[in-house]
Amino acid sequence: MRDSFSTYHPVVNFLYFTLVLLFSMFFMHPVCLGISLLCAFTYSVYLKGKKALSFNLKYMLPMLIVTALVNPAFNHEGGTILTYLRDGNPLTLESITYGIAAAVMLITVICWFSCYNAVMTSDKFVYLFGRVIPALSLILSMALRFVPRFRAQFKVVSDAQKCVGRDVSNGGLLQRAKHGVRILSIMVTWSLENAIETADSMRSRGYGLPGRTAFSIYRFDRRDKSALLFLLFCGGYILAGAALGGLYYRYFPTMKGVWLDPYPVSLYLCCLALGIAPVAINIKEDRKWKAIQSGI
Amino acid sequence: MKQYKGKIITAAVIICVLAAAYFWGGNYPGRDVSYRADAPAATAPETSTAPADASGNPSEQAAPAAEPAPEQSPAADPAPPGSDKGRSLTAEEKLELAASLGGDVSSEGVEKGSAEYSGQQGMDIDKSTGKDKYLTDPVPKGKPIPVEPQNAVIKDTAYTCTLSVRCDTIVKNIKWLDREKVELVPGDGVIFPATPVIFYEGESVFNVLLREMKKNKIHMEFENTPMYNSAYIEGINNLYEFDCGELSGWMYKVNGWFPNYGCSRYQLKENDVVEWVYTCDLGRDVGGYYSVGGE
Repeated sequence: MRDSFSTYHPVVNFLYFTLVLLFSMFFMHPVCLGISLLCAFTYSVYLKGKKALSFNLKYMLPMLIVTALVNPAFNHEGGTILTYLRDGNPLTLESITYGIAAAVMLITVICWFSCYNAVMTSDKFVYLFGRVIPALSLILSMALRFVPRFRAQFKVVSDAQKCVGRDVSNGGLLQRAKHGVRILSIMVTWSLENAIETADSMRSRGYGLPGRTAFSIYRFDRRDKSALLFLLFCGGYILAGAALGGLYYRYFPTMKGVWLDPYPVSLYLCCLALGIAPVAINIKEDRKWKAIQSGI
Repeated sequence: MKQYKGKIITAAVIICVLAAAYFWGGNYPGRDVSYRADAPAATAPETSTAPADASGNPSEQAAPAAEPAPEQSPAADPAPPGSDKGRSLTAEEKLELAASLGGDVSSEGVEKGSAEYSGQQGMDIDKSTGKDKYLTDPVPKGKPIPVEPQNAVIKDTAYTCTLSVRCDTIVKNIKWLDREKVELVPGDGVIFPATPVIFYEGESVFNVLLREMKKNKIHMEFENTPMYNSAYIEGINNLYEFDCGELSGWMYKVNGWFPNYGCSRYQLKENDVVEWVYTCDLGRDVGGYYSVGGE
C-alpha cells in the first residue's frame, strides 16, 4: 500500500488536483457530486488508511448533516412545498436537496484537499512555481507547512517544560493557566523567529535570483507523458461537455436536468475515470510489485 | 524599470478586471423608456456646461430643477431606444442615470408626506431626522399612518378586502427574467386574480397575504426586518427580487396608493383593495417610485 501516484512528475500531480477540485467545486450535478465524493473518499482512505476513515466519519459526517440542515432553515425557494415552518415560511423539497448537494460539495472539497496535502509536498510546489512566483510560492509552502510544524514544536516545548515541572499538566488551575500562557508565548516567539530565519536562509542561498538553478529529482518520462495526456483529454472532454450543457442541472425553482442520455453518461464515466485514476494506478503498481516479488 | 515589470503588469491586470466589472454590471429593463430617452436629449448640445435648466421630464411633478450635471460628456449620445437592450451601460449613461435617480423625481401620483398631518394622526416623528423610529417618512395627507404589528389587537370580527397578485411587468420584460423562471410566469401576468378575501379586525396586509398564499398553495417567502419593523416579501410564486434585472422586486398598493412603509404595518380596513405588483424598475414601471430627495 504505497502511493505510486505521488512518484509521478509534479506537473501531473498538480494538474490532477486542479482538475478534480475545480470539477467538484463547480459541477452541482448530483451524479458528478456523488462520483467526486466517492473518489475523494477512496483516495483519502488509500493514502492514510484508518486515520482518514475515522476522520471522515467523526468530523465530515456531522458537518454534512449540519450543513444540509442549515440550508432549508434559511432558504425557502422551490416549487414543491412540503410543509410550513413555524414563522410562516414554506419548507420546500428543493431547498433540502440543494442543502444536501452543497454539503456534499463542501466535504468533497475538504477531502480532496487532505489528499492534496499528502501528495503535493512543499518541495513539489516550490519546484513547480519557484521560478515563476518565487516569493509567493515560498510563502505558500511555508504557510501550508505551518500547522504541522507548529504542532511538532509545541510537543517539544511542552516536553521540555514538563522536565522542569512547568507543563500545563502540573500544579493547580491558576498555575496551569500560567504555564500554558508561557508555552504559548514561547511558541509565538519561536514561530516568528523561525519565519525570519527561513527567509534569511533562503535569501543567503540566492533563492529566486535569476539564472540560479535548483536541485530536483523529478524527471518527466514516458509514463508521465501518458498520464498527462490522459488528464488533458479527460479534463478537456468534461469541460467541453459542461460548456455544451451536458452536465446541466438546476435546483430552483424545480429540480430538472440531464440524467441518463448517452452523452451525459459518457461525461459521468469520464469524471469517474479522472477521479479514480490515482487509485487505479496505485492498485496496478501494487499488483506488479507483488508479481515481481513472488517471481523472485 | 525591468525589475518592476512584474508589478506593473499585475497592476495593469487588476485595473483591467475592475474596469471590466464596472462596465459589465448595471443590467435592468426600463433604461430606454421615455423618462430616460429625453434626459440626454436635453443636454445633448455641447454647451451643456451651463447649469442645466433641463426639467424636460414629463413624468416629474413639481420637481425643483436643481440638477446640475457638469460631468455629462458631450459624447453621451442618445442611443436609439430599443437598440441597446442587451448592452451594458456606458460610464456616461451611468452618471446621467445616477443624476436622474438621485434627483427629486418621484412617479406621477406619488405625493409628498405631510409631517403636520402625520403628527396629528399620532405618528411619532423624530424632529432631527424627520422620520419615525423605524425610518419611515411622514405619510401624505389623508392616508393611514403605520400601526406597529406588536401593538395591533386582532379581534374576531371578520371583514372583506380584495387581494390580487400580478406580474405584468415581467411579461413585458420577459427577456430580462432569469431563464430558469420563465415557465413560472403566467401568460397574462396574473398570479392571484382580484378576489374578495376575509380578514379579521386589526390584521395587516402581510397577515392577509400570508394566509391567502398558504390557502391557495402559492409559494411565498418573506423575511422579517427589525430595522423597519416589518416583513419584507422576497418572492411570490418563486419569482424573487432581482430575478428580472437588478432593480426588480415586489411592491404593494392599497386603494391605488403605494404606502411608504412595510406591509406588516399597514392595518386593513373594510373594502380595502390590496394589490401586489412586481416591478422591474424600482417602482417606476408600476407608478410607485418614491423619491425622498431634498426639498
